[in-house]
Amino acid sequence: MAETRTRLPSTRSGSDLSGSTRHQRDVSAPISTPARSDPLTRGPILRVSEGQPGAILCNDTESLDSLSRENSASKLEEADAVQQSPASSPCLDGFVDCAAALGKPATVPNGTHGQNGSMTEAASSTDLEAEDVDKESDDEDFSQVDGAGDTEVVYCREGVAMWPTPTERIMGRFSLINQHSVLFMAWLPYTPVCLNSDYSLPLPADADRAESNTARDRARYALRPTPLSDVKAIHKHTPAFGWQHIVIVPENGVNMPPLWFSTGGVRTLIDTLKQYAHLSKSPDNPNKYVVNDPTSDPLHRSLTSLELSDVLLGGPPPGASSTFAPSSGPVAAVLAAEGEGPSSARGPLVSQMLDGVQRVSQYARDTTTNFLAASALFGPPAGAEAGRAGTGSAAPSCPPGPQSSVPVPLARPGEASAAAQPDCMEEAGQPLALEAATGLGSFELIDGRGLERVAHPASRPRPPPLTSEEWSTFFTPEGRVSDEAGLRERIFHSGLDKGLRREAWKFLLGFHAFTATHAQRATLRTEKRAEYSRLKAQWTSITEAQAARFAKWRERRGRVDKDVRRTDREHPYFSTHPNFHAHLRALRRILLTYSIFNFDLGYCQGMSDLAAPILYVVRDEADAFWCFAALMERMQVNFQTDGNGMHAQLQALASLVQIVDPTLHCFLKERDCLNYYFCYRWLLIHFKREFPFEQVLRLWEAEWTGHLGPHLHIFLAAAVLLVHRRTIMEDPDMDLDGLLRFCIQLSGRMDLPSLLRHAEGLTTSSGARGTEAFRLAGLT
Amino acid sequence: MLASDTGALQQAKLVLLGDMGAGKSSLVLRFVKGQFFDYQESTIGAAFLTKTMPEQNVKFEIWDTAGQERYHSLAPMYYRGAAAAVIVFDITNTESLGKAKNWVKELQRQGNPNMVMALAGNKADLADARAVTTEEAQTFADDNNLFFWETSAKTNQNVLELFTDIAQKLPRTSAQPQPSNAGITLSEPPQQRPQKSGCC
Repeated sequence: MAETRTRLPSTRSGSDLSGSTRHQRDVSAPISTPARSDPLTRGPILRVSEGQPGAILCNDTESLDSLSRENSASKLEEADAVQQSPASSPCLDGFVDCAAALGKPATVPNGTHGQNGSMTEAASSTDLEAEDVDKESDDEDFSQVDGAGDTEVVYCREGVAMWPTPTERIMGRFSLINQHSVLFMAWLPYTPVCLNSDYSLPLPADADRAESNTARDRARYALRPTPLSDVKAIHKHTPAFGWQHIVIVPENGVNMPPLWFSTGGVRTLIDTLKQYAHLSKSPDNPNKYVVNDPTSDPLHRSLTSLELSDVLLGGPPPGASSTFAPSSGPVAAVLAAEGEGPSSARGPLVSQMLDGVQRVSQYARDTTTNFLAASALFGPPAGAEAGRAGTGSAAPSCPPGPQSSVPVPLARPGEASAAAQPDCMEEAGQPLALEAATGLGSFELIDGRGLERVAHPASRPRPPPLTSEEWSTFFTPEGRVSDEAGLRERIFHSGLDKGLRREAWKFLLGFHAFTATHAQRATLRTEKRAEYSRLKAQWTSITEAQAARFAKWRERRGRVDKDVRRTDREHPYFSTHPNFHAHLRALRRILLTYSIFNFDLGYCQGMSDLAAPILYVVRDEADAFWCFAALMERMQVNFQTDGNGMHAQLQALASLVQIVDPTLHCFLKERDCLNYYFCYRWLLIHFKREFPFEQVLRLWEAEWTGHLGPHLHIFLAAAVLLVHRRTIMEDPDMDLDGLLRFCIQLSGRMDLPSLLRHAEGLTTSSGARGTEAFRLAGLT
Repeated sequence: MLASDTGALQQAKLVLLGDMGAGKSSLVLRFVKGQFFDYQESTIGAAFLTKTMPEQNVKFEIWDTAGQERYHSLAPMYYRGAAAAVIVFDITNTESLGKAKNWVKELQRQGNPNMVMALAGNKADLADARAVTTEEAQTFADDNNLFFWETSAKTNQNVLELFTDIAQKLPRTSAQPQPSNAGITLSEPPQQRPQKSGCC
C-alpha cells in the first residue's frame, strides 16, 4: 500500500488536496483527524495510521464503513435489511487554496492533481456508513493502470493568479503535463472542494474572501489542459519588483488574461517549456516567446505515432472539441514566419514513407479539416435516399462542390468496381464517395475504407483524463455545472481520472443532475438512500417459509445467485480484495433489489455485467443501486422479452453500415447476414466482454456523456466491422457462422482508443442519414 | 452444415444447450482446454471453440450458448445445421432437467433430423446435493433416443467419454472413418443407445 500511495496519490478517492502526499500530511490530517470522533471510524483509522499516518484523511470516507462484514458472514445472504444512519458528519475537507502555499508537488504520474472534488457529494452526505461497501482502503483497486498512459506533471506552480477585474483575484495552479510526449498547459483556479454541514462554503481563514464573488466565473477563466500546439506565443514579464506574469497567446490569437505568479517561477516555466518545445524569442520583442511545438511538426508527429499501438488512429476530427478547435491559419503563419515550410508540402511525403498507412500528421489533419468541411457542404444528397429506395441511377460520385481543391487522399481504386454492383446503387451519390483525384497522390489504407473516408484521425492531442481538480472548476459555488456540454465533451474525449469516477459517474448516469445544487443533491441522496432501504426490505423480509411458496422469487433469486458468483471474478475487487465477499454480497443485493424495483423486467443475464463495474466505481451500495437503475433506464430495452429493443439496435447498425460502407453492406446481404446477430453481445452489454475492465469504464463513461448521442455503441460496432472489413470480405467462406465466430474471437483484441475515434468519425460521416436511419429503426 | 469430410478430417458443428448455470461452458472448457474454473463467467450470446479428436477423425466446432430463456430466440441460429447437440442439465437442480426436456423437444421439432443428441447430467461430483436421479434422466434419455452421460466438468468425469461417444455416432457422409480404431467395433448404428452412465 505504501508504494502505491507514494506513486499514485490520486488513487485516493477521498480528499487528496493537491496530489502531493506532503499536502495530505501537512494540511489535511490536522484538519480532519480531530474531527473524527465517530466510533465507527476508529478502527479503520487506527489500522491505517499505523503505517501511513498521512493516509488517514485519504481513507476517511472509505473507512466510514462499519465493522467488517467480511468476518461476520461468509455467505451471500443479506443481514442488512434497513440501516438507518446517524446524522451528518460535516465535511472535513478543506479548501484547495489552503494547500497553495505549501510548495509545488513533486512529479507525479497520471492525473495527480488532487482529488479534491471527488468526494464532494459523498462527503456532504449524511449517512455514508449505512451502505458503503468497503471498509478498507481501495488503493489496490485503483492502482491498475488504465488507458491514460503515462502522464507526468513536469511543472507545477501554486498561487498563480488571474485578475479578471481590477478588484477580483482568482488564485489557481499552473501546471505543465506531459502525456504521450505531448505537452499540455493548464491553469485551474482553486475551488471549494466540499461544503460545510450547512452547505455553506468552507473558506479557510487565509483565503481571500473576495474571491468567492468571482467563483462563478472561475470556470470561465480556467485554462483547461491545452496542448502546446494550440499555443502561439507566450509573453513573459519578469519585473524586478512586483509579481511576474505571463500572457498566453493561443493560436486563435485571442490573448488570455495575464497569469500572475505570486511566488515567481516564470523563468523555471520557460526553462521547462524549452525542454519540450522549441521556444524562440521574437525578434521584435525579447519578452515574447514564439512556441514551436515539436509535436506540431508533421514528421515528428508521424514518427511519434509509430509508437502507438493503434495503427489507423489519431485524435478526434478537427472541430470536435470546441475547447481545442483547430484553426490552422495562424499557426501556419507562425510556422512560416519561423522559417518552416507549409506543412502541406511535407505531408504526402511522410505518408508515402509510411507506406500507405495513414498516420497522424499535420497533413492528415489539414486535409481532414477540409474534407469534413466539404462533406458537410455536400450534405445528404437527394440522390442518396432515392438510391436506397432502388430508384437512383448510378450517378457519378458527388462533385467536389464549391471546395474543388479539396484533397482527397484516401481513395482505393479497387473499391470502385465492387461498388458498381447493381445491388449497391446506394454507393452512387454517397456524400462520402471518394475519388482518387488528389494533387498530392493517391493513398491506400491497409484496411477500413469506410473509416478512411470519414474521420480521419486528426492529430488533435488528447488532454489527460479529467481530474477532480479540473472537474471542480466546472461547478458554481452552489454546485451547478456551468458548462454541461463542455464538461461532457471533455469527458468524452479524455475520460475520467480514476479517482474522479466515483463522483462523476453519478452525474453521467443521471443519478445527479448537472443543474442541481450541492444542497439539492445532498437532499436527493438522502432520500434515495432511504428509498433504497425500503426497496431492499421488500425482499429481505421474505422468509424462507414464504420463499418456499414463491417459486417466481426463488427462480429469480437463483438466477442472480448463479451470476453474481461468476461476474468479473478475475477482477481484484471481486476476487482478491480483502472485502471481496462484501462486494459480491452488495452486488447481489443491488441486483435483487433491482429485480423488485423493476419486477416486470426481473433479472436477465448480462445485468450483472453492467452492475459490477458500477459497484466497483461507486463503491457505495445505495448510490451504486441508483446509478445502476439509471443505467437500466437506458438499457432495459436490451433485456425485454420480446427482443424488440435489440432488434431495433441491430437494424440501426445494419442501416448505419449501409450508409457508411455500402460495399460491406452488400457483402453481408449476399451472405444473408443482415440480421447482424454477430454483433449481439456487443450491443447487449455495450462491449463489456470485449475490452479489459478498465477500458470498459472508459468506454462507458464516454458513452454516458451523450456527447455524440445516445447510440455510441452502435457506431462503435460499425467501426469494429469497418476496421475488419477486408478480413471479413476476403474470406470466401464467410457466412453467419463465420461472422459470429469472427466477432466472438475479436474479444480482447480490439483497440479502444482508435475505435472510439473511428466511431466518432462515423457519427460525423453518417450525418443526417444516420440519424434518420436510427429513427426508422425505432431508436430515438 | 452437417458433419462432412474435408480431406481426412470430418468437421462437425456441435451445439450446447441447457439451463443457465448447468455447466455448459465448463463442460466445453474441460473438453477443449482441460480447464475448469469455479467461477466460469456466464455466456452472453454464444462462445465458440474448436476441438479436434484425431483418433475419431473429427473436428468439433462447438457453439456454447447462453442459458437464460430470455435469449432462447437466438438458439436456432446456433443449432441450425448442427450435426450434434449436447443438452446439459444440473443433477442438483430438478428444474434444469425440465429445461433440458424442452430443448430436446425443440430440437426434435426444429433441428436437423439426423442430429446426434446427447444428454449430459452435469455436476455429478455434487452427489450430496443430487436432485435428479440417474434413473429418471436415463429413462428420459432412452425414451428420446439420446445418449446419456453423467458428467462432471470439475472432476473431468465422463467428459471425454461424452464427446467421444458423439464423435463415433456422427453420420459419415462419405468415406469411412479412419481405420485407426478398426480393431474395435465401435461403429454402432446411431439409433443404438449406449447403456452406460457415469452414475456414481
